[in-house]
Amino acid sequence: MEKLLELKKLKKYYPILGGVLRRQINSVKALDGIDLTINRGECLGLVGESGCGKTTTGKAIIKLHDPTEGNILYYKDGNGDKKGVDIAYMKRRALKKKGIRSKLQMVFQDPTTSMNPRMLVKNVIAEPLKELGNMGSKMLQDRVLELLGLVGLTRDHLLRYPHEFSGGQRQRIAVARAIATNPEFIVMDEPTSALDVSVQAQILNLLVELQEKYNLTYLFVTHHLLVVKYISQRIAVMYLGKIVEVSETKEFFNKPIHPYTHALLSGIPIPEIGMKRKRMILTGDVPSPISPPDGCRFHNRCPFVEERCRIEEPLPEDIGNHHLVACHRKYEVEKLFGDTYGNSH
Amino acid sequence: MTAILEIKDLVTNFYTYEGVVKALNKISLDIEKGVTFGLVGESGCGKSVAVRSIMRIIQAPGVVESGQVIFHSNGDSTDLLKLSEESMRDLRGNQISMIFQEPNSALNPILSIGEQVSESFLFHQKKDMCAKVLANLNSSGCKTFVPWKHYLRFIYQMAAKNDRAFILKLLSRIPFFKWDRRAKKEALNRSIDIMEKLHVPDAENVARNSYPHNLSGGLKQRIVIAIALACNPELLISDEATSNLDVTIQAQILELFKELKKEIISSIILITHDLGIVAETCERVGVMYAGNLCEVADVEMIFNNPKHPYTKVLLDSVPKISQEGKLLSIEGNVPNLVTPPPGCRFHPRCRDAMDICSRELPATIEIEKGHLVACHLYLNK
Amino acid sequence: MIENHPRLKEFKYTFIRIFRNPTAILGFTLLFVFISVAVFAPYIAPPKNEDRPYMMPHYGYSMSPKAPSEKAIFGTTEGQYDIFYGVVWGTRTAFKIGIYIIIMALLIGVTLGTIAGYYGGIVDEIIMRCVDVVFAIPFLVLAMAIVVSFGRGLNVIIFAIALIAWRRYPRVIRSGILNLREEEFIQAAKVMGVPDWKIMIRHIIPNAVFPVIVIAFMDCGSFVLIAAFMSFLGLGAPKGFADWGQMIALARNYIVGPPEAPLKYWFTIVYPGGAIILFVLAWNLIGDAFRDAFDPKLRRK
Ligand SMILES: Nc1ncnc2c1ncn2[C@@H]1O[C@H](COP(=O)(O)OP(=O)(O)OP(=O)(O)O)[C@@H](O)[C@H]1O
Ligand SMILES: Nc1ncnc2c1ncn2[C@@H]1O[C@H](COP(=O)(O)OP(=O)(O)OP(=O)(O)O)[C@@H](O)[C@H]1O
Ligand code: SF4
Ligand SMILES: [Mg+2]
Ligand SMILES: [Mg+2]
Repeated sequence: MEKLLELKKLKKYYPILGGVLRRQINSVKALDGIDLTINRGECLGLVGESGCGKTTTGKAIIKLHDPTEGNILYYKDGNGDKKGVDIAYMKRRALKKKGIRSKLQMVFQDPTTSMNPRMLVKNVIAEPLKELGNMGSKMLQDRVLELLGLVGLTRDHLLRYPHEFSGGQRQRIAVARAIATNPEFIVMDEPTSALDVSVQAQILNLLVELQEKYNLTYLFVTHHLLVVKYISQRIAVMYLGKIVEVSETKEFFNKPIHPYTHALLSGIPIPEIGMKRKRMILTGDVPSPISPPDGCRFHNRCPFVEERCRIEEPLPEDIGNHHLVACHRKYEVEKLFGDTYGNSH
Repeated sequence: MTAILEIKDLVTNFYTYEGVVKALNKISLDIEKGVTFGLVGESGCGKSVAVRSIMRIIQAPGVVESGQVIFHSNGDSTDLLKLSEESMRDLRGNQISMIFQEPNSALNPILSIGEQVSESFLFHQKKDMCAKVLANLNSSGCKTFVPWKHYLRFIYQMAAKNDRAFILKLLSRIPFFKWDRRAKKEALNRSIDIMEKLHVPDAENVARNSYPHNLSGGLKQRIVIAIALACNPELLISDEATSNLDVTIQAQILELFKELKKEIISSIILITHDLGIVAETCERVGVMYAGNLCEVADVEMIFNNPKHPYTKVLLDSVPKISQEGKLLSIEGNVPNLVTPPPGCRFHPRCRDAMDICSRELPATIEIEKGHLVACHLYLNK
Repeated sequence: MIENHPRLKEFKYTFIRIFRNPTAILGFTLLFVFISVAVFAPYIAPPKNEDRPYMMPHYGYSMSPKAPSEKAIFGTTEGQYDIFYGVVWGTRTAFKIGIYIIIMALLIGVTLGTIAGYYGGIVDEIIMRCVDVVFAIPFLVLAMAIVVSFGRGLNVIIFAIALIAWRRYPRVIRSGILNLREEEFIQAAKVMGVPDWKIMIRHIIPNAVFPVIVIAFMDCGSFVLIAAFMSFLGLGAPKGFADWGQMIALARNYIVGPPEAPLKYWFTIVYPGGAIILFVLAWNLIGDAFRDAFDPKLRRK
């Protein structure tokens, strides 16, 4: 497996301004030191509750903002680059000059707001191409048509405004725009959550197809676990600015460890009959990322909490098979869960 | 089983500049007592319009053209579409409640949570609460300044009979004659009770000191549900009330619905995109497509033995827990409801379409007990 | 092919939406009348002196106004200036005042607002504090101070008003931009590597500028009114210049006639005054219509 991106102790604090002079009085600790490796050609699912920092992670990687601390190493294609470039604090212009900008792309959650309502589809898709430069208008037009074809739209759609399309078609346009520059890596920020089920299937299939065709790497952010199961090879679970578990998809569903992962899994409504199980319903609410709890961040909702969890923060450890878990009771959870809720996921 | 709501041939149109949007095309549907009814279908197929038509809260260019919505409650049957606006308003809170997707728009940011829930109680259950206060006043344990007690007793007697009397309103504005403090207190107590029932942590404190912006999305949605439940509705309509919430919070709310149905409400109409929710919480399911109801059946039948081609593809297009291989998807786009396809509205995208499908609208037939389908495939047999 | 071009279609929709609104029709009719008058002024009221068409012709030097007659159909004002001629040519002046002021104000306001909103931080702070300062001083006082220090004249008035009139726009456009900056399509453009200035021109201004344009339309009328007021105070155009404000200034002493016939000189004030009011009204109505028409969210419906 070849690394494409490596996040090291990445932190992102959003300042909260207040007071008379609008000084920083506090900060939202959206990412609080995460380590994550993304391999070339894989689709890594990133799941977790709302506000846990999934989007923040995605945006940090594609450089929509600078992180507060930590590094993002990018291993460029081909040249046997063993060291990787640190893009965490690179300026946007430098990024563009080194040709990295066009390699990292993003598809946003809501296709309605991710396109300028006053631009024609033609120009929406051509925009990233124009930034690459050196393309005649004929070539540009051809490339745009080719891209439209790739995502299953036709020439007729060229001269229309985004609002004249359905949600699914709009998301196709967004995908076309993201792959226009032949990127290596695309952050998919909940690309299907604004769409409904039948359209979701179309988009998911399209994404899989494109990934195979161009050997793309995805970071697939979502909170829909069945979607992530369908599309990704590995899954990372986030909770309140920390990564709590990373494992291969199969293992994730067969042998989940972290209590929060268990809660997520038992929370998914399964679209099949006869899958009745005892649910693990979490009590309590997500704590505020402004003042996260001490020790394990999950301890105020965790059914298996013990004294140690409140004091000491568990670190992610490999329990074999590249399965990382950050929980003090990682070797006991399986048994505990079985005892409390019955053994069925 | 007896129906609580019978919808017959409901037609709703929107008169827009691009033409008439035929959003509901003769929907007929029975909702039984004690049942959680799931309504599913693609975005824009008319789920919200259907329930909004029932509640008579369709917005401006929309008109309920024809049909009947018969509501059965305590032995009487009323056609909601014929009711006066005033009695409809009473009914809307008292017997049928609705929860929307966006909790923020349902809550007033400047009132405390307790005030908002109490308000709903004061609006719908004032008589009952006044009677309760009166009972308290009459009980021997009540120690109050005696003339004041007489005054209150008199007032509450009146209020227990007719809570909207003008004189009561007037008196509640005059200093030294304000009588409704006790009623408000009672309302707040009831609010706290119901919030506790809904597992709002530290309900008392939340009710007294919290404002909407202090609460998380899941909690806010629970407060909205508390407001909707304040009047013991017989029918609760939830229009994608959990779509914006996280899996773990959504699980909490759905669990709550189940509990509520055991105790308080009799029937629930649950609108959702998520077939998983339907499979887990509903007993009966209606599948809509482009303003038509294609199939109505018990959940097991829908999931294990779907009949309508649209239901089949819909089920195939959601990822399953045991998903292997490619997802099937429905080709083509949702039809434009200004010029819907003739005949069965699904025929341009249907895998099994026949000639007749593009000509005639299929009638709804019951192919087995409790399993209604509107499709030509089953009509001739 | 050409009629199917989406921009044209969009334009058509906008057009239809504007003209569904009866008040908009009134507004456009009024504006159309004013424009025609302005364009055809030389034919409607042929100038006596080709070189100085903006000077109103006068028929004698008598102080007291004369009622409408064959010769001067709107009557004459103090100094026997022809009111009809003044109203007709004053239309041109009014357009000149309104349009110059608005263009200058928009240029200043939009530029400052865009810079403040887009860059935020210290730049924003400085610009917005300056705007606050300008805001703190009453409009007229400031305008008059400028006029007094630069000397009187119509051009000075235009300049003075424009120097203050921009102050509303930065706030509006800045708040629009602050909302837009968080919009996903701006972030999408950043991910594509579009440089800041292009984002600004291509994505931000077209989406943020419409509220400002609507306000500008509405303001256009009121600036003409303010300019007229300053002319009325004698700070503007010289005596005899075809400018509505200046004409009202001439009528100053005749607003109320002699005690036995207080309305005797109504024509001195009603014609120029009515012209100003209708002019302001026209812009306001049009601004209103545009507000509805430019809203892209309404457009989706
Ligand atoms: N620009 C910002 N300024 C301040 N705080 C922010 C900003 N963006 C995000 N946050 C905060 O950072 C935290 C993480 O946000 P993020 O958007 O990454 O969550 P998420 O996991 O993507 O959630 P969702 O599933 O709701 O999209 C949240 O608490 C959020 O309130
Ligand atoms: N105010 C309106 N004006 C015009 N058409 C409308 C209006 N409201 C709804 N419609 C139309 O009625 C149809 C049904 O809309 P409805 O909101 O019921 O869909 P839905 O099934 O609830 O979809 P979703 O799952 O997205 O909420 C749509 O085609 C929509 O275009
Ligand atoms: S560390 Fe403790 S509190 Fe945290 S998840 Fe594990 S058992 Fe629960
Ligand atoms: Mg997000
Ligand atoms: Mg809806």
